[in-house]
Amino acid sequence: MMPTDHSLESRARIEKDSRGESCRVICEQDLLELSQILNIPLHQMYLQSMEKGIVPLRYLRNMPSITLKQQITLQTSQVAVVGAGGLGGYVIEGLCRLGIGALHIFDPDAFDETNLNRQVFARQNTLGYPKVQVMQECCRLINPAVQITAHQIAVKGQTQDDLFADVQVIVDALDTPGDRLTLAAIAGKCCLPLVHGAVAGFGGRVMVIHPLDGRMETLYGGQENACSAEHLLGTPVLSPAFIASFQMMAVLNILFGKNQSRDSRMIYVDMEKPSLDFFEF
Amino acid sequence: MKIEIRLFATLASYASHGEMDADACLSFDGPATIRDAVQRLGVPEQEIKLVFLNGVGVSLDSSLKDKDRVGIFPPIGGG
Repeated sequence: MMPTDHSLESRARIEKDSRGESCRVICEQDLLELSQILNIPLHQMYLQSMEKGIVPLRYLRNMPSITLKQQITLQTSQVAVVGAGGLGGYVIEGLCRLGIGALHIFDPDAFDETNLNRQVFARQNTLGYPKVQVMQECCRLINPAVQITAHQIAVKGQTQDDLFADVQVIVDALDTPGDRLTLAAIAGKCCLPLVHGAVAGFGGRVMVIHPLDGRMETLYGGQENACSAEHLLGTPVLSPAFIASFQMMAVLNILFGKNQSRDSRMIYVDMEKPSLDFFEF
Repeated sequence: MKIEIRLFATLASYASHGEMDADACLSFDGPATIRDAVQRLGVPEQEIKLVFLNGVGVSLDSSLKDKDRVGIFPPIGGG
């Protein structure tokens, strides 16, 4: 028999968190049922639960690295990921699992066989299908509390800045220098931070490009159509998986307002050596 | 003076040059710039995109002093 008390509190139960402390939790099935009974969108149900101090079970293992207050911040955030290839696939899946409120994903392409070596959503049964459509469907199964908007387009024109109207941060997961320069110009126009990532071989870099700071031009100016390192070294799965994680960390730091004075450094990781270095310019 | 030279991505192959010691250092008897180091190692300048001296972005004309660390990158755009 269905419970007649349709409050979040009535569905909550006590669990121990990773520190052994008791906390109130709620499972997804209860959140889904309440969402339907009360006619409240699921992402709002998640938010209401967390605001009452009731932790959705799917986020319990994030704590205390991500506090409940920070989890609420994520649930109310909107992030754009431009490029849904090697880096973008990991970033999109990761931000979905992290519980970003809304993800706006952009890519004009469909999966092909050359993507299978590294792109997390490239599978035998997704070849030929639009990347953003596949990701939207997969992410809905991973975390239905995340609102995913799929744009099967290339972000190529500065007139497209309205695409980022409600976004707090843009992730640059592109692979063409010219497109990255265009995206940096759009991000600058929108006064949004841009989390740049690039990979080649077993290495890659991450840095936060601040609005109109001109550093994307330093990275790629004059080489819009140049043959860059990944064409000679390839891109095995290791480097996008690793660099995407650093990009996600940068997104979290921006959304949480942390490390603001230090996040402009370029991090370069060489996994083969292995080494991790910081550079400033 | 001894200069540590880090060559990244596609430029890493130039680090196997015979004049580089086991600690990835290059020795100079007199004054030198980063361009001098690049030329000794045979790195084509057109393959260089970013140059760092002790972790800070500089130009190839920057002068070197003992124990400096130089980092050199080609263009990297992959995603």
